[in-house]
Amino acid sequence: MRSFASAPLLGLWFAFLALPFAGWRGALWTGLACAALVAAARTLGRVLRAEPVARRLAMAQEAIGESWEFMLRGTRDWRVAALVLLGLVAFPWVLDRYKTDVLVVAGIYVMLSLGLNVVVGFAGLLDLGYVAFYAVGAYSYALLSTWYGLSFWPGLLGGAALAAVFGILLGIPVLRLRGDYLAIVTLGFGEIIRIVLNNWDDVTRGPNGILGIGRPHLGDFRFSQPMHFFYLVLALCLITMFIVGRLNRSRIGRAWAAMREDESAAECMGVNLVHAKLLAFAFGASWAGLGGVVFAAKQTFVSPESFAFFESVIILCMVVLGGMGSVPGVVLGALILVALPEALRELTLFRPMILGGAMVLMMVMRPRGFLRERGLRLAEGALPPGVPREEGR
Amino acid sequence: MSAAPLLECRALTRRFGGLVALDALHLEVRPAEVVGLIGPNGAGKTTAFNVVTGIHPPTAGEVSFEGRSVVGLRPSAVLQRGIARTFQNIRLFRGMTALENALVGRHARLRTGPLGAILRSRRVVEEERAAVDFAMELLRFTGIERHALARADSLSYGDQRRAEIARALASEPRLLLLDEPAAGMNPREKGVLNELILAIRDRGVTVLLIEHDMRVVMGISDRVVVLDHGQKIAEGPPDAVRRDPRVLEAYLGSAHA
Repeated sequence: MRSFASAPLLGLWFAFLALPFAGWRGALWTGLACAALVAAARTLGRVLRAEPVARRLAMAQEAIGESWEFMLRGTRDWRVAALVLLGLVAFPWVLDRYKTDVLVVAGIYVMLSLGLNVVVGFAGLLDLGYVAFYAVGAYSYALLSTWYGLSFWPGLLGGAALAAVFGILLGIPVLRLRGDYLAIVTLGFGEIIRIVLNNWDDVTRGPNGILGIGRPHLGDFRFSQPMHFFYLVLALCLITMFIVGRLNRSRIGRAWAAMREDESAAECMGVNLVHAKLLAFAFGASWAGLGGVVFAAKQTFVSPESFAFFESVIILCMVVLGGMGSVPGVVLGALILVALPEALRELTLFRPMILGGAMVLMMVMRPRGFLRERGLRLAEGALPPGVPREEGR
Repeated sequence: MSAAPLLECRALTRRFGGLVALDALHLEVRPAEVVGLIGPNGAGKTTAFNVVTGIHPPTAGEVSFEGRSVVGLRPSAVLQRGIARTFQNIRLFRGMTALENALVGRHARLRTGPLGAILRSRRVVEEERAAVDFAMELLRFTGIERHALARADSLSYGDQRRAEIARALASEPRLLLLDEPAAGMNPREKGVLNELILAIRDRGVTVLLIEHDMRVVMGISDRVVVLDHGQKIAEGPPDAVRRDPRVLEAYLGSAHA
């Protein structure tokens, strides 16, 4: 009961603070409201901490993660994979335009979070300015398209390549930085890119943005409907998952994981940290570049406000919530964080609060996110059958 | 004793600010030897390892391995040349399995690049398979094969030390630097470790070994080098070193000399 005793005291304190501004009546209400809020928060905390509730919530979350993984694992069988693919292909025929468009956005975020997962999840380098590479991809295609009329497909490669170059440009100065320091420098890098885009009027047209970006063509076929972009993004997401997964289960993925666990021990074991870090930055950034090009082609318009710091935070949330280092987990995290705000659309003003509350709850219940990374970082079939599977992971 | 030295340190000096951790150290290790490096705490033994493996650049002096200088190389390049090490405070990749740890140790001997990893050609799969076979063979050799798929941090203390040795051997080094491998082991484990170190030498790997446990050092070393305050104060066969007055003084104080 001790914790509840502080509620009236806190109320009294806030009433006292409010007195000069709000008068007697205002102070009274402020005090009562504070006391009530504190008591409510304490009660909620107590209920959540009560074993069965907490366990049930954590179990529910685990169940979501596990069933998601089970579903994905099922796709190793080509018949299941074909069925799932058929289901995905049918989506835009069942859903309306708006929902299809939301799925396109979700797909772009899946690519972005898979890319960030390479840097943060695999290699353990905290990057708070990841949206900068998204911006580089989007603007490079926007400029190449409006100036030179470059078409989408070479633009896709160009945007990814340029983002990779920027990844290396960021990587070189931060080679020696770790943890908090790295986070601050990457944060600054993200802001620099946004501010340059906002102020370099001659090239980027500043806050007005760039209009009239070309849409993709395939021969005579022109991508215009959300449905068309859905298939494009779906294909790119599948390619991303495939490539990122394979890289993780190889010599390169092992080097990244070793670097994440213990940098200097990894270097002593033959992992060249310069190569490993630059590869992680460049490779991670190239997916953001791809996503940026798709985004620019879909919107036909880009402006700096799409690339605010908050975007980096959201993408990082997707990675952390889904489970750092786990490819299926990160995909799930991205889908949830795009779907949740849509599901809560009716609640308008309360949306950010509920979203924030849900994130806090989920992280308190399962700090590792929905799915832990698991499985050996090894090509499937390279493990001889006789290896004893003791303890496992 | 006339074979060309595998590792040769000449006038190797390392200062940290005002502290002279290594003071003009001369050290030779010849092929197929087990050399013990001993000395009181703070004598500069681990510093010597760190300088040889490229973690700290030497303030002065020269380190050559197989006749070529390794000064100024990154630690990963030193490993590539054929010097591998373990750490005094175990530094396995804790969240990875014992097998993966050994595979990281093999990193420098594998060729697969990013493109190869994505395309995963037959050559790449063959390379992975051979790497796993090699790593498993080392886990068997060090006696922790049954823990191959256990997380490194779930292994017992002695098994973690063995996993570190397996990880270091995975790069097929010609010189292995062991930093207090027996620390924290019980007498039975120490006996097994002695056998293991001799078996490593029989594989053709030269061993330079820091160890506080005199029974381990004296039992398996062909030669012992004693450091104190960064200087070499004695060198020779274990029995001679054990009776050397300067060594007794360094360890026990002048009253016992």
